[in-house]
Amino acid sequence: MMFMFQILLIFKMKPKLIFKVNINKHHCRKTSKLERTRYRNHNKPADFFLGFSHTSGFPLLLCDSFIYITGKVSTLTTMEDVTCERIMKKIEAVLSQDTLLDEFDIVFSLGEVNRSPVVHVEHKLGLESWCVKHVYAYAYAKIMGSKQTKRREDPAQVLRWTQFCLLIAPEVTTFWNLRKVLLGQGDLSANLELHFTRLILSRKPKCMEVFQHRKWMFKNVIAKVIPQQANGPNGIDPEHHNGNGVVFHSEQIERFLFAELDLCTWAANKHQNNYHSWNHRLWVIQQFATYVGLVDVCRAEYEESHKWISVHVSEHSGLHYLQYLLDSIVSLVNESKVENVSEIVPYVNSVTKLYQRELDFNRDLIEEYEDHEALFCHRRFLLTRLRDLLCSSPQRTCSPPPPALKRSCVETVNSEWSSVLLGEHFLIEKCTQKKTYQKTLGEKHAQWLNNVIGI
Amino acid sequence: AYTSFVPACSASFDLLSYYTTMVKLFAISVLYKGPESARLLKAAYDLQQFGFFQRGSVQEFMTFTSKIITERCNPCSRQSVKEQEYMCHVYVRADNLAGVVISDHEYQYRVAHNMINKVLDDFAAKVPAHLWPSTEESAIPYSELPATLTRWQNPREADALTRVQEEVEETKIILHNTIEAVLERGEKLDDLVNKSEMLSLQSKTFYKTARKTNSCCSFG
Repeated sequence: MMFMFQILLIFKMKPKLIFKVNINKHHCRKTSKLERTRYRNHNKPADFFLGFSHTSGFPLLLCDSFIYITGKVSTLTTMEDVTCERIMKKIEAVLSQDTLLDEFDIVFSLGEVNRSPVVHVEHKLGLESWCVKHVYAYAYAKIMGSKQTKRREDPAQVLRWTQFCLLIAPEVTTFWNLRKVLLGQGDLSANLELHFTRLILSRKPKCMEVFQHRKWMFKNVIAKVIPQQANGPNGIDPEHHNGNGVVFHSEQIERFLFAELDLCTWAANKHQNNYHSWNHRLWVIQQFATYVGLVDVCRAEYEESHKWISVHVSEHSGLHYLQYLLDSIVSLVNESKVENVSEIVPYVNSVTKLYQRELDFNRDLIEEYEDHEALFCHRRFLLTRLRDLLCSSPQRTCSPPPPALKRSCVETVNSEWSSVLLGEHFLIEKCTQKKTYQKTLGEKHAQWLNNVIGI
Repeated sequence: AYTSFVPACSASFDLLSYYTTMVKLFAISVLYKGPESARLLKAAYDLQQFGFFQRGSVQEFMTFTSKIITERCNPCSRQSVKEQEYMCHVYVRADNLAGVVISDHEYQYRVAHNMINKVLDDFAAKVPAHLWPSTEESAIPYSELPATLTRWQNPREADALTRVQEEVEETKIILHNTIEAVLERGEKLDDLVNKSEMLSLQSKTFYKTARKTNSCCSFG
């Protein structure tokens, strides 16, 4: 099999320069069945084309229409080491000098013109695609080689190699881990790393590993109290970076966290249902709870999330975040951390009114933007919460009431709950009169009310 | 009847201001549907949502898609075609003047079709019909499209002036779930892309490598 494809290599490839990369066999195992399946399901043609495995980061060799994972020793047509290093140095220079850099992308180009593949224009960084798989394979081999020999490499070199590889393949945690070690040792500034991760998000806004790295950085680098440097604190620009080596007061942590919220909004706008960025946002709120205080941020976030939802009506992630916020607000009230809901949501005096207001907002969106299931899912959440609030009575135990008693919940006290249910009936009637998917959604909602709420 | 939103508390729910920063409409084009092919007369694009280096290819693709869809839409019919995360709305009039709007899938299609109506009426009033079949795009005397595109990003504002729902009947809009549905039998989108002369090599490669399949639901 190996023999067969070496023959094919000779026929298919047009070698310019051949050099052997001794990729140690530990790093070039055959792909497992699981990995191949993940491949097919992920369907990342872009990464195949660029020459690396999306899941593991292994460099692949693209040989016309053949894609294969290398065995023991691989041969690649590629460029010289010096050129690879030069390209990586150029990228490193651009990244460190241009602090306003906000986008990175790989630009398709056949590389026929003899010029540098690094494109730097208007604070955007581009890399021409012809060089990507060669430089990546080189940098990858260097990184893995240095790990294998356990020789202490010059940190600057490791940073440069990992920086390049991460721009291409940010899903590979090995590269991030190497950088974490260097961050811990102080060989890498948090400023630059935050800027770098933001740049990566501009190309892949749904990359889980980037968000994880930022979380790690917050916990291990930024939130730690570090003695002030002799030359005094630098101006901290929370949009791009936070100073390294400055004593962090809670005010500065607060600014960092607010900047993190902006980052989440930006990433969420870049890719639909970007739940990694929404999860990150939830984590930020939790950090607010620990370090700063929830009241102010809940007030601001309540406004923001309503604005966002109004223009992204079919995104489950955004609605889920609003649900988390509502639960946080309610728990703040229940734990007496605020006297009244109106401190967080103006003009709303009670938790019941809060849910009712949410139901109104949701209904208006349903009526205006038809055929979006996410709004109905959110509505079900609101109704469940409201039911638990209005229909709970001191005599009941924690276990849910048997179905017969569910009905009595409706009959006994609550005129409030009854009017809510009446509102639901009207909504369902309106929906079922339509002829589009909205009708199905209305019918499903009626079914849910029947099965779960018991009416 | 048009249900206008009456917020419980008007202080915090000012919906009009919410729309101003969101890009929902990406392109508006006016075309002439000739006997053989469709000819682009004028177009405007809002591509700030796309990566800097991708905008050229994205614009080429939008032009390409607008043309394909117009060619396969019969006169006096309206269609809304879903293609990945985008919706293409097209209306071809009896006099073969056509309008195409490319939006995201949350922008209401009734509003998009109303926008096309307005744009085509305005265009026909300002650009005489004899110019449509053969004039070059740069020579067409019509420059209102960019401002129109910006204005209609906020469907509320545009709607309020035009009373949308009475004008365009929903039932007359044909909805398609993929662009393959409007192609002729045996035609494949990949072949059309490859054969097209208006797409650069860069765009064709971009098409092959950047197509996402159901990526909104994928984990990574």
